[in-house]
Amino acid sequence: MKKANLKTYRRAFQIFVALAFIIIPLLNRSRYSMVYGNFLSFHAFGIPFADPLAVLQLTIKNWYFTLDNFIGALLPLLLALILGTVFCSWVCPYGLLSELTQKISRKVLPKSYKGLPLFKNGFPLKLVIFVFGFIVFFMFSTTPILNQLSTAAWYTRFFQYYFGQDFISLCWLFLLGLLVIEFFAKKRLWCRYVCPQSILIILTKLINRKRMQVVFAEEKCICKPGYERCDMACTLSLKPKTLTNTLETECSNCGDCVVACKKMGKALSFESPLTEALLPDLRIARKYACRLLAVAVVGYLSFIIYQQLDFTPKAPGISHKLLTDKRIVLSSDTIDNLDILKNGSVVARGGQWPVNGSAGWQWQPQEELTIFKIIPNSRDPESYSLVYGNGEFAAGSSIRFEHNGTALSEEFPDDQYLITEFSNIPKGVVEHATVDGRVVLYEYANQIYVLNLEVKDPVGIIKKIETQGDHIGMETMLTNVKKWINSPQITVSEGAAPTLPFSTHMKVIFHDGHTEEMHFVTDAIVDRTSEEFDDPWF
Amino acid sequence: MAGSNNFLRPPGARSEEEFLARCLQCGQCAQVCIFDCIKMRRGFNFFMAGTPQIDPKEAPCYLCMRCSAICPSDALHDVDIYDVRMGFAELDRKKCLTWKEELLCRSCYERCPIKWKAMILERGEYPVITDECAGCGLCEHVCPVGAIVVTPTRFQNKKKGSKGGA
Repeated sequence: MKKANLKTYRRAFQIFVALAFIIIPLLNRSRYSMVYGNFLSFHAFGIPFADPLAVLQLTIKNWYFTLDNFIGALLPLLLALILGTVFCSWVCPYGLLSELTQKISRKVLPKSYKGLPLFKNGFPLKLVIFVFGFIVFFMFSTTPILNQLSTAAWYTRFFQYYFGQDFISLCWLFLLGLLVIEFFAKKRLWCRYVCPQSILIILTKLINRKRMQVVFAEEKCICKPGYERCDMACTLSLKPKTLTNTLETECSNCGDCVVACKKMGKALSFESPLTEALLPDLRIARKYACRLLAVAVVGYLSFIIYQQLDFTPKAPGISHKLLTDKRIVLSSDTIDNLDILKNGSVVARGGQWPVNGSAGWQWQPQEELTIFKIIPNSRDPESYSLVYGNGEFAAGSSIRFEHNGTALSEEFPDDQYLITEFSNIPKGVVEHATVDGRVVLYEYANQIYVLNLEVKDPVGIIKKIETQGDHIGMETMLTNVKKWINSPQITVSEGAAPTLPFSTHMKVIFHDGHTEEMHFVTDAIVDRTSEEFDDPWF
Repeated sequence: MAGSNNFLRPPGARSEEEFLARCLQCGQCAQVCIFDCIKMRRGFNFFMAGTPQIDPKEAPCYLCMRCSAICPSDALHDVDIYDVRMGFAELDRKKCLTWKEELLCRSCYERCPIKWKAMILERGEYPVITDECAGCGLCEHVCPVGAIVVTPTRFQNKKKGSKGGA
């Protein structure tokens, strides 16, 4: 097996960063917000990072200054000061794409084709473009428009758009176009000749003369002239042996040439006088640094996990390990399955269901493990039914319903059903499966029959409710903070009792786009003849 | 929507000019918004692309103020919700069910995050929007007949250094 060298680590880290910025918008979408941002500004566990150029644009033009941005910009600059422009070779996702394009281009295109003939030093052109762009920004714009030239930001922004608002941004055409041009030019044009974001970190690294850089020991070199391994390895098409002032500014310290030279003569190597001066014995220092870092990372992660965990005591009475979040599938004409949910509610589906009362059913475990209680109407806990498991709850055994209320016993004769399946409820189904709604027909004095629709919404997640059914015309469902009720009142009939049963259909639309339908069959009249009919709205 | 210019900035946004000069277009406000109401602006306008916007018809702002708390460049100023002025809601009395005396609706009043300050009930029944309105657009979102329209206040105060668009 190939031994892992510097290049393997580098590629792994590049891919990790590129994948991380695909996953982060997905995490944010599912309400995980410890890590967010793109390459212009980024927060990871409270630590800010920012694009130095973007911050410079804010600062220079209008003297806008925030501590968050300052620290964020300082961190990449400090990194550049000590290690050179490693951001380009280790982090930047466009750098990864460009490097891979360059590799493919060198393999696919014929060797006689040397690529687009361009001058050797890219940095002066880059500087000219940068200064020109900055002058344009300074004269004509207050918006930091140079941000729009950041290819790394466009890469991250594409996924922000895609996962955040389901919109396919056209910036992928821009990135692909650049890569295609680079493929045929056989040179990393954007990184070497244009990229304005890299200017600041290059200038910062030039301040430090003792930064990390590649040095060449001529006496060790054994390659034939014209067949240098290091030249082939360098994706920026620099010549690592002749790295002098202007060319060295472009080197991103990726270390590909050092790795290639290890097999030949070890003539190229990294030298970082500053780090060596600061840490005399690098090996011991590295050992302790690694340990310290490991302890810090583990400590910090465990702290976060501790914060995320919920130690509040669970609501009593609903914890029943065997039954919670389980689906019981029955061989019955009336009910196909019963979903027993953790939050204390039961949803019946299939067969003749969902019918009146399916929404808002509650369940309670009993002392014996094989019995549980279903309360179909939370407003009337007197009428309940007990469910007896014949033995354990498992596929193959049977259950028996026993009804103590009057309303239910007509619908269900006491009988047994075979459990055909007993399984966990798939995740995601549970979330909104329990809208508590009801439809009641009241009889008032003077034989006025009024239909009352009501849906509970204590948190305010419902956007709209559409109604349909017998005796229902153009009713509007209005919210009253805690619940939705129909307005105006629906007077079904006056003088004579209406013919029963009749059905009502409600479609509940949530803010997140999810919809749920409820079907109610009204077959009973609630007696309120002792009260005068009084419409609360008028 | 994407092309429309009639959008709101998130709560606590400075005056449009200063906001655009400060906004890094990093999209963090859209990523921390738990109601998914903040969207990053689309289109080919290089001055605007990537800046946050809110369309109250699609999803209104609930004034949870998470976005202004995390904005790294203070383009969204961390202000109290009573000082937020994203827009100004206007009520069309000819469309409003209550003003038409068809029924007592109160959908907007019940949902208003600053009720009894931004929205009061005249004679205990008829909704009236006052100068305290933050312009979050919740009332526009819940109104069953579309009687309320929020007009953004982005271009009203161009003075530099104004705080929180107040």
